[in-house]
Amino acid sequence: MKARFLALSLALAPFAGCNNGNTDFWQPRNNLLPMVALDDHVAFVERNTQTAFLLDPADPSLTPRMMAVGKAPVVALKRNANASNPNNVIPHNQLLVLSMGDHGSTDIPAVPADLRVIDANPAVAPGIYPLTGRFDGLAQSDDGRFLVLYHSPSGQAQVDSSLYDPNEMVIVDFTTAEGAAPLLTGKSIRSLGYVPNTILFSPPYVFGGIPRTLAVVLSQNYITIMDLEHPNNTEISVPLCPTSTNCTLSPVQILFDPANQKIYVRASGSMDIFQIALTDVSGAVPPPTAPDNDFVASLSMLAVGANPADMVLFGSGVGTRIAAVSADARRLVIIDPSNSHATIIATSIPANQIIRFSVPGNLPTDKPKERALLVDRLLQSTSVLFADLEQVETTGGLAITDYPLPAPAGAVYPLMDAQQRVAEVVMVSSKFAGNNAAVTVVDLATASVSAIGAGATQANPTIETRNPSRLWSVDHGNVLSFLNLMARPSEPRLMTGETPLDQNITNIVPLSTPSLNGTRYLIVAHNDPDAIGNFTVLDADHPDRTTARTGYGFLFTDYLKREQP
Amino acid sequence: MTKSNREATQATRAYLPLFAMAGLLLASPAWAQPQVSPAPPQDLPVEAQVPPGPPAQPEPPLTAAQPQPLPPSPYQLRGYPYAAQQGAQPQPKLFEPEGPVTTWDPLRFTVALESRASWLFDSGAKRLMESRYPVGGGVSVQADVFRPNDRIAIRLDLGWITTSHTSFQSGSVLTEKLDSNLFSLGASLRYHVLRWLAPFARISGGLGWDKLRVADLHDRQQFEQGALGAGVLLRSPGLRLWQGSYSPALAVLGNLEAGYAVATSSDWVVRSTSLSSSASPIPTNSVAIGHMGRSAPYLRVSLGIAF
Repeated sequence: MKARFLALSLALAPFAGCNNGNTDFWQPRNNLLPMVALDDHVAFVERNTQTAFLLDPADPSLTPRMMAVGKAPVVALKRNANASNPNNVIPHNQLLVLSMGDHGSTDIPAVPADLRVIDANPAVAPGIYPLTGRFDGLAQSDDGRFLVLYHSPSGQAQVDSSLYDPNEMVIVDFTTAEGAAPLLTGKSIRSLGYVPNTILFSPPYVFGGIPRTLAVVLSQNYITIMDLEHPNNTEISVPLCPTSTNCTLSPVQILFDPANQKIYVRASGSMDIFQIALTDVSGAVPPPTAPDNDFVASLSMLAVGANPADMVLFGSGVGTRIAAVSADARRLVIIDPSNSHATIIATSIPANQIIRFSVPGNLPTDKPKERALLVDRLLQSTSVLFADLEQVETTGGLAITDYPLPAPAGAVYPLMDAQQRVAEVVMVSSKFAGNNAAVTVVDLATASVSAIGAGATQANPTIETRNPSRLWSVDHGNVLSFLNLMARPSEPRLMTGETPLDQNITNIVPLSTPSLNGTRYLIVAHNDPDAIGNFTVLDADHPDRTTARTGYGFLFTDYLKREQP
Repeated sequence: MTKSNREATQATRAYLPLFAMAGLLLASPAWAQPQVSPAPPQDLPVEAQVPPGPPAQPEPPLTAAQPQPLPPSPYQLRGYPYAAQQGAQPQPKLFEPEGPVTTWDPLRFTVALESRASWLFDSGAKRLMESRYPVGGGVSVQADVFRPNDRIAIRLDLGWITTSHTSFQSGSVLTEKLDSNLFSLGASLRYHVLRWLAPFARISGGLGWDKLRVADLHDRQQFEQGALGAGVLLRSPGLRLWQGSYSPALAVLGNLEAGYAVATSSDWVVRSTSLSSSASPIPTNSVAIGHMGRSAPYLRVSLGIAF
């Protein structure tokens, strides 16, 4: 008997090493979310294998660090950071990945949706936060403290969920305390017939002596205001039309005026600007208690007389004004929101973008002068307008000066200086070609225009908006070109350069922060039809092919270790 | 002898080896053969063989003295019961074809086609081969180098086995291809149990290289392999191509061997070199796609011609 048992054991021994796993080499074709540039890393999220690949361009081997993400990732973003706020201790060299999970079936168990926060520093464990809803939209405040997860209007939830509330959302408050766990608050906002399109975040408004961030949800015909410091408070819905019948207004732009506790809304289809005044009622008797808010909203309209295409705020206090341009009516309108008085000035071009800037006064003690640049980006105008905003109300058209352009503007990029003030405007021509008209750089302080030519049609214009700034573009498919928009150490302003690469360029992503080795990198993506990973890393400050490295196929890293999905 | 008879005899001489070969390949076990008109023992010299029954035509007397039949060896008596009766049979004529070679002695060399199946345990190897039981093919040459007696032989073999696998990703143009080549030198110890069956134990070692291509990325890895196995060697009766002292004998010989191969493993690091035609291309990173272990049980089958 023992001999038989021994013989049987020996015969079956090889089976112990067997498993019935899938032996297929190929997993499903990679399905990548758009590349995400962190401060000094670059991240890719592959949906089929639910893996995030984080690459440090300073790593000579370009070996990615792989992190698991939730099932069915739909959004991958860099966490916002407000670098101008020195008190902002919230880490921001992080990747946010929102996953929808799986509602399950008779054969597959359900997997909850989750939000993951993956830090570029491998020593920091990723944060994993399960969600109750399967959201596919993510909005975040400028300082990265607040996230709002919501259902986008054309989201995936509509096609693979049986029942869901399109106005459901989750407010994530990471708080400002370092290391503290975030607070997740579910909320279903009031529906006035439509769903959230966009969510914007305000600078701090002070009510009852407490600064707080507001979230403004833009929906068709109405907006919703939420106090993010008190997410359980009732949201405030503000309809833009007196009646919903025949109301087809789509809010598209919000201006926040925390000093005057107002919010201005521009909506397509309306010839008015909507003014929402927020009144502090924290001192009322009896004081409001949760879930009531300690502020109330009231709506009024400021007449523009034409469809506004863009608007800015200038001035302060009682001198605050709104400057709006209307391309249809070719006019600049200065509105005093305190009394709804409007000053209308005809413009020579159908300006549809207005860029506010300030120039120093004649004396150092003088207050900076408020100016604006009016640009037409749609109807091929060959000039721009400089407007002295403070003088428009008194001198009318005399406050507007016309400057010719060598070519119509196609895209306009304001540039900030070290003091976070708009100092230059770069206008890329609509054709992005021509011997003397591919790029126009406007120095706002001196109102001088510089025209930059291009020997061949350029592509993929990419602006670094941080100082020192560069315009990157692609020439002949594989030549990386740059234009210095501001003076750099040992390099003059408007200096150009080019670096030929080995492959055609499809995307240019400059990283904002130097790596630990002191080099700031530029990521140049190449054609990658099979999504296996293909980019070249260059020194962003001194691009040179001799120091460049190409990462090709890095999404195959540890491929044999991965389980078949 | 008439002309027609002479021509018939010549034709018979020409075709007899083929007839005999066909018959021998389908030979039945010796103990199942009829007891009449047995074939002469094949391992005896031609001169020593006893001619069979009365010739069809009178032949001139042999000038040399007819040697007496050799006493059957114990091996013949044990393995081939009919061989013991040869002494009583009439001597065959010289021109008549010889019977099958049923001893191992003349079959010293073999050229064989090889096939080898592995039973993979390593998950990386299984994915690269897309099979748990990849099969390769090749050739080998084998030779008996030492025979201390009639029952035992030591054989050396030199073989080449190649395996190739290609797979395609669904929905893309990506391909994966793994080519494997192994040269091995083996030594086996064989014991002749029957005239057609000999179990053996074999040890082998070799060098090989694998070439992997994934999309535009590729790598090449060398490896060493040692194997220990056991099996049986099967053979058909042999046939001499012509009469004479130096006539070689041919037989069909097959191996069936199972064992375990221990091989060095590899960490695949693939890289592309085809992204640019530039004389000084931008360096491309390497990609470590994973580990592959090659140690596995195997089943080896070979079929060849022994001579």
